Formats: sequence, C-alpha cells, structure tokens
Amino acid sequence: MKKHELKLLTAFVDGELPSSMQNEVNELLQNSAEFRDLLRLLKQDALMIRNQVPMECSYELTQKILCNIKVKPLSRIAHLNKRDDLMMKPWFSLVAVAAILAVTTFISFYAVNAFLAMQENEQAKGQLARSSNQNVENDKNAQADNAESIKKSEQIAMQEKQNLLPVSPELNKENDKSAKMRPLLGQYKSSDITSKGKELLAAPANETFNLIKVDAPLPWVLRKKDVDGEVSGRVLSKVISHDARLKIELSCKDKTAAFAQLKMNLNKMGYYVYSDVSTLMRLKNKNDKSPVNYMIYLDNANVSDLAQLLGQEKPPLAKDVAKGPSINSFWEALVVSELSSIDRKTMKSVLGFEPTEQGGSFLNTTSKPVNESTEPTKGSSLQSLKKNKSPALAVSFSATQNLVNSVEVKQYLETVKSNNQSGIKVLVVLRTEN
Amino acid sequence: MNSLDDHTLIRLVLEGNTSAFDVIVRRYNTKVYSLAYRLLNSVEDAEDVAQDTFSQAFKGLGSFRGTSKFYTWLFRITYNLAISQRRKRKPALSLNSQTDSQGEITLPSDDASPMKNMEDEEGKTLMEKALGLLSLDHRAGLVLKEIEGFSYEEIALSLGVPVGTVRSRLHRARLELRAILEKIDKERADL
Repeated sequence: MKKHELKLLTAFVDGELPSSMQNEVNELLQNSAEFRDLLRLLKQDALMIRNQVPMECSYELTQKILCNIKVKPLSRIAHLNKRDDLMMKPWFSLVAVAAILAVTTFISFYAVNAFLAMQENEQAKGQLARSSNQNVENDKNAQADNAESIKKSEQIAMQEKQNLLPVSPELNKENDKSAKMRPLLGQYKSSDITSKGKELLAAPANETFNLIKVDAPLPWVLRKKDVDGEVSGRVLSKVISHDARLKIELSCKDKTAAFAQLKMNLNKMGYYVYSDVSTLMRLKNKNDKSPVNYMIYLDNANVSDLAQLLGQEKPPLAKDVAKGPSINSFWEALVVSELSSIDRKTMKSVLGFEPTEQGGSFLNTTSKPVNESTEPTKGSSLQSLKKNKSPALAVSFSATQNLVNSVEVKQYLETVKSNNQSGIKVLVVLRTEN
Repeated sequence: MNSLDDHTLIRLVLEGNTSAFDVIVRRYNTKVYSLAYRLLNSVEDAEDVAQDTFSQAFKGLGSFRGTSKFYTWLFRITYNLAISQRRKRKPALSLNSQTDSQGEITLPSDDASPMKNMEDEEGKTLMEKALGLLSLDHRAGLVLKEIEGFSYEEIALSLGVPVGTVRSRLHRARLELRAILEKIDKERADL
C-alpha cells in the first residue's frame, strides 16, 4: 500500500478526511481488499482505545486538589482584601496627607538650603577672585621689597668684608646656612609665593614662625644666643639703625608666659596694652599648647629700647653666656625685618589703619611718653593708668575676625589722639599655629 | 454555579470567588486525571500531575486569554507536566512491566488470538500496555483523539503543536500501534 493511501486511510479513521479526497477513499475501499482490511483493523484499534477502562478521579484526590488550591488563594486574596480595607480607613487618608506634607516640606527645606549654599559659594568665589587680584598686587610689592632687602644685605655684607663691621664666627656659620637656605627659598615657585600671600591675608593666625619661610637676610635673623653674645648687640644696633620702621617676629614656646612678659616689659617702658577679647581668650586657653609668634612693629627704635622690650636690657654674665641661652627668656628666636608694604596693607585690611600712616617716632627719647618712674602705683584708677601711659595694641590675627572699628582699636586710636602722640607706637600681633 | 460556562467561572475566580474554581475542578478532574494516567501509566504520577495541573491553572488563570477552549488550555498544562514527570521517572513503569530481561514483550497467557481477547478485560489491559509502548507524543494524540474525541485543531492546541504535526503524529501512531498489536499476535501464535 502506498504511503499516500495510508495517510488517506488514517485521516479517514480520524474523521478528518477532506471532502475532496472522499471519492479517492471510496474508490480504494471498492477496489482494494488490503485497504479494507487495514481500515477494519484501525477502526477496531480505535474502538478498543475508546473502550479503555475509564479512570475516575477519586473523592480523596479531588479534595486534595481543592485543599491544595484553597490554601494559596486565600492568603493572596486575603492580602488584597486587607490592602483594600486599609485604604478605606478614614485615618489612612489623614496619614497619607501628613506623609505627603512631610516629604514636601523636607524636600523644600533641602532645596532652599542648597540654593542658599550655592549663593554663598558664588559669593565666596567672587571674594576669592578679588583676593587673588589683591595677592598678585601684593606679590609685586613683595618682590620689590625683597629686591631692596637683598640689596641692603649685600651692602652690609660688603661693609663687613671691608671690616667696617665685625662679624662673629658663629654669625659667619649662620651666613653659610643662609647661603644654603637661599636655594631652598629659590625653590618656591611663584604659585607658592602667591599662596603664601593668600595665607597671610586670609589666615595670618595660622602662619608659623619659620626661618626658612621668613623673607629676611641672615644678619637680620638673630637667635637668642646671638643677642646674648657680645657681637649681637653690634649687629642688632646696626640693623635697627639702618631702618627706621621694623617688624620684629618673636618665636615663643609658652604663649601665655611670653605675652605676660611682653606686656610687663611694655608696662615698664610706659605703655598700656589694649588687648582684644579673642587674644585674651586665646591666651587663657591652657589646653592650647601650640607655639606662638609675636609680631611687633617698631618705628625709630634703638637697641636699648628693643633690648628692654625683649628683656635683654642687662647684659648676661660671662658664666651665663657659657651656659648658653638663658632659660628665663620668653622668646627663642628673633627676626628683624623692614616693615614691608605687605605688612602695611595687611594691617590696613585687618585693623583699618597702617602703622606708619600717621608718621611719628617710636621709642626714641623725645617721644618716649613715660619713664619707669611714672609707673602707676597701687590705688591708681584704670583711667589714670591709661592716661599716664602710651597705648600699645595687642591683637590676634584671625581669618574670620575683622578688627576694623573694634572697641580695642578705637580705644587705642583715641588714646593716641588724647595723648597727642603721633604715629603708631607698638602693635603686638599674635600668630599661632592651631 | 455548576451550570455556568468555563469563561464565566474563570471571571468569577479572578474577581475573588474561589468557590467558582471548585466547580472547574470538579468538572475537569476526571478528564485531567485520566489523561495523566494514559500518558504516564502510573496512578501515583497521575495524581501528582492532576494536583499540579489545577494548582498551576489557578496560579496562571490570569494569563488565560480565553481565545481557546479552557479545557484545551488545561490539557496542555497536563501534557507538559506529564512530560516533566516522565523525565523524572524513567524508564516507564508500564514498559518494564511487560518486557522480560531480553526486552521482549510478555504476553498474557491465553491461547486465544489477541483480537479476540480485546473484548474482555484482559484485552483491554493488552491495549493499555500496547499504548504504553508508544511514544508520549503519539500516545497523547491517540488518547485525545479517541478518548476525549478532540479534533486535530483541539489536539494541536492541547499539545502546542501545529495541526499538520498532529495529523502526521496520529498517522504514525495508528500504524505503530497496529504494528505492535500484530507483533503481539504473532508472538502469541508462535507460542
């Protein structure tokens, strides 16, 4: 039997024979006995399949199926119903509204804060740009000052070579060190200088005394042993007499004791020290063990006055010199440099005036306001004490504090005016490393 | 509720009336179990497949689009589960039960011809075992055609294959079944 005929036969048994092929099947049934026999067998097989024992699903199996299904849907639908019930509760809408309001407020708060912070950043950028411009100008001035300082130091060195000024072997060693330091100084790039200038203007309180960073030729940098020594007096005298307006930087370990000593020395010299609150608070902080520098601005000072200010008015004994630096000194190192234009501008920006703008002299015999004999006695009023003394101002530089028109500065300037004294006499500036 | 059609019952179930699915279970449990048994020749496996069939049908009731008859969709689940069950347990129990150690088919001890025995209970058992020798695809086609009375199209929907495939499968299944029965007849004649 052909394959096609077999397909017709099975399709006929299945009852799926197309009507177009019905005639062909009828013809085969009439003409082919083999076709008829096979058809009979296939129909018999189909009948036997249909007569198979019916498989009934037992009651137990049905219950199993139902239980298996009901356990799951109940939990699912219960969850849905629970959610619906929850949303129908009257307090649910209140809670939802409250939550939305809270979230909205929270977002608004942060949005406003972010906006304000952005505005502050823009303002800070503007200030930074202005400060940068000012620093560039300051750097130019500083370079001019440096050139002048180097020129002067070279003149002094030339004079020393010509035996005009005796220089101790120790000082020569310091000169050698300075020569070694100068290349280090030269390694600072212009950007470093600019950043240093920024620090001086923005946060001078954080500037620490550092010999390498101090922009001054070696003869002006004196350690205590130099001042204690025989030669130091001559060198210091030469330096001080060379420049009328000076800046003295003192490096001190104990800031509180140093300030007290400095204040006491000034009192002995007839000065009353006006201190701002932040300076006093800083000095009272015993937990602050950071080293501190004092910058003192002088005008037409002589060596004896400076020695008195530093507590060196009495020459040390020979045995003390042999022992080394005096342990009672409140300062460790001293840097004397010319009052630069940067210093003037710094003072102007911080205090509202610069030390030399009113002229006058400082610590000279003619303008010396009081002598030690006029020191106030017990029972004198504070006002009379102030009147009898020349004013000195002690302030601490702060990045955030502007002392312009502050009470202390006003008192200082008024006292200067009432005492009919011209010029700035003393400015003690604290610089600490926090 | 028993008089409702399948689509109405399904809609009720989806709306949360779970008792409507009880009607569906009671309406088709025997057919599903029977198909599973014909495909697997094992009561235990058939029960497992029947339970899993309704469980999966309930879970996936939302995915039933209603474009076809519900029972074809239900039988398709049964067929797929039966295939999985068959893969887990092979070889099939029914085939092993009627073959000896050489793989020959063991026949009922009766002197009469196989065709003659078809009329009695033993003949029915013989056909059942002959069906068990067919492949699952062929067996499923024959069962759905002869027992369920499905058309080619319904079988195609139930098995997830084209109608042409169903036609060719049934064609081969009938001829193969005939060959098996003739072989049995011949072996019994030789005895």
